[in-house]
Amino acid sequence: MIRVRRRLWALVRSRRLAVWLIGGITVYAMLATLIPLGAAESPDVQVWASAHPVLERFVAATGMHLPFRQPLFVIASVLLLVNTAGCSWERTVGAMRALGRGGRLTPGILTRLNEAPTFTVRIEGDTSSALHAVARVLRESRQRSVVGPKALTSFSFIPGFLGSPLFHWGLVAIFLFVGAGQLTRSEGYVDVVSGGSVVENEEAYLGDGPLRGPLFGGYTGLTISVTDVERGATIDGIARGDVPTVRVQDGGVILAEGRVYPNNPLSVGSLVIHRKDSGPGMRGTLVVPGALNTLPFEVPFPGDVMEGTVQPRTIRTTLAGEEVVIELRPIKGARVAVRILSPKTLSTGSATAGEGESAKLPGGMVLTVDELTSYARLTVVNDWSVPYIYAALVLASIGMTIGLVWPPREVYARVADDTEGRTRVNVVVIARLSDPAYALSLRRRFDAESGMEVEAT
Amino acid sequence: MSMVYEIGFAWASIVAYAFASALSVIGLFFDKEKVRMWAVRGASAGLCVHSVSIVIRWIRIGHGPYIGFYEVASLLAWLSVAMLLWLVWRYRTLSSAGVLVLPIAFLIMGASLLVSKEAEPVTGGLASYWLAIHVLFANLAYGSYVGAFYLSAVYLLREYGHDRRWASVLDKVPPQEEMDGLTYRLVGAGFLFQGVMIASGAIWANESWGRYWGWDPMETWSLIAWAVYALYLHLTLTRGWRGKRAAWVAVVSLPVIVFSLIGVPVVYQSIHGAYLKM
Repeated sequence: MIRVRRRLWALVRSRRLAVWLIGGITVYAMLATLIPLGAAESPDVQVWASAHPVLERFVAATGMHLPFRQPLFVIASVLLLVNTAGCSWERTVGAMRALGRGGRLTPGILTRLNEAPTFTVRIEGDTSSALHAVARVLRESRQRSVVGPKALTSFSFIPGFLGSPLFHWGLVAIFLFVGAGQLTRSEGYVDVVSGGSVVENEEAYLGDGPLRGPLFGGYTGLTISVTDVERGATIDGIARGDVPTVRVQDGGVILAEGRVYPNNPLSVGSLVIHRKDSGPGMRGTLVVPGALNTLPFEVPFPGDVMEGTVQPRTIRTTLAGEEVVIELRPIKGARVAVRILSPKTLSTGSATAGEGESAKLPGGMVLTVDELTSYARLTVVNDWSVPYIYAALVLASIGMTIGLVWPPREVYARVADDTEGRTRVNVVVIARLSDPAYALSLRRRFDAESGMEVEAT
Repeated sequence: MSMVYEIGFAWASIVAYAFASALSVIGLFFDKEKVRMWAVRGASAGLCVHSVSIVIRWIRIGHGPYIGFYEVASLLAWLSVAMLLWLVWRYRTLSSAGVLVLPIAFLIMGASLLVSKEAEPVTGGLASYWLAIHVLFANLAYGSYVGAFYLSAVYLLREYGHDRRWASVLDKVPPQEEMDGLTYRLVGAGFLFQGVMIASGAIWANESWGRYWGWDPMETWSLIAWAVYALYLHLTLTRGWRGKRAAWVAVVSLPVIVFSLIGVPVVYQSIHGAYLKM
């Protein structure tokens, strides 16, 4: 059992496994970019599928239109996370061990100094002056030395030992927070006509992470209003397009309000609102014979009227027990075209109405255009993990910087012998895993000093 | 009027790079150190006038050289030559690396002058200080990786070309181990800069679009390029890959980062496509 655990632990922190996983995920990602991403019904996917019918069968079967949700990728990523955590632990232990040596010559290092030093230097002078000369050369390469009677220990900047562990733990934290965030985030969009509002609820979201409900319960129920849409706004001298003013309320309490445009979202806790699109909108009322009240409605119209790309919208009501579908479409001249799509018995002809006007419809219905205005499509994202991901990014960046600027190095030197005014000093350099060329550069420094000569090995 | 000067200085830099390219090839194949040093002087002169062109444009249009193919390609050529000159300043004997760099810089500048030079305004999602941070670290990363590429290419030329006529030119280049070590440090620096580039890009994307990562081809390829250099570091530090093997990895990795910077927006439909309009 202990053997199994040791083998498992060795596998978890295996550097060969890390190389294979990074390489495998990289190749997978390269292949994934060759195929359009998206749901089967998305236009890009359908165009590609019709152009590559044979390949599409394989791609559809393997789910490669959504490659980063497939089990193969998820499992490889989880394995890489576990491997990174194992490596992080190992590096942390190694760093603690190095720092814990505290300048002591451990038996292992003594053995290396006596039997297999990195190199040996002949220095003119007695033991004391030789060791101090070694300390001086090491100081020039930013090492701090402690000189003893017959030996010397030298360390680089102490925080440098924590650089690599910090970087790797930062990566682990990024993995964990991204994964947890993806499992619990909500993302979607709402269309709000200027002057109107919606409630942040299930209908607002296109999709939730699978754990959102169990962990976070329902939605905030906050009210998101668009109080105004400024068309073609220029803010700080830069054209920002259509800019809605958005207000978020909890009952009667305004939690946040402001203009929303790219790089200027509105945030309330983990709820972040961005502007995605805008276009014409209308507010109106519908009178249906037999209904107790008039029916107010608000309708956004994605697209552009002048460019002819505006999309019609439908409203539904009931007349004499039968569902009626009414199509509305804004047209040039600040008017709205109205026609009944179903039932067929009522879909005769169409009418138009401008702001403040009414259109009489078959069946005795009357549709009034109360206001022609704008609407804003707002993306709504609720993701608690974002600030933690940022913090993990900062941690990883700091770790990487420390590891690069102050690579951890240990240098040990011990007098081998002291004869005829010359001292032979054995030197062990521990820096291979962080600074492979350091031993060579140190060797050259000693060789370049007058009164010192590195022995050929 | 200043656009005339801007284009004029850009053309002057192309002429200087072309002149320096020719001299570096002659200097290498005929083993003439004086000729190689004149190539370096030509490259320096080219870099100076190229810098003037960039600065004039920056002042004229109000933003740095990072929107549109013309600006991006021009800056990549500038970085390539600047990194070469830095390496030559540090190791004079690396002047022979000019034969790798200068023809490419000349071709990139030439290509940039064939496309539209109209300035793209900074509007919408581009109007953010994250743009400058993101682009700065992208350029620092590219510069570091290009330096690693030069050193590795020279390393390999010396390893494989020791019996060629021009091989004696490389005798004075720093020792292989030193070049190997410097390559490792440049890749390390590039890895750090690229990590910050990706992080700042993710933060900016969240501010601008409401999501920090969307597997857009540009985002995916920047991660691929980062992973490729992560492989270099792992293979070097933990699997003992040194010398020729490490040099080959550094050499074949550069096309990946170049593709991720300027190839992806051309080949793929990307939300980043606006920044490399031709």
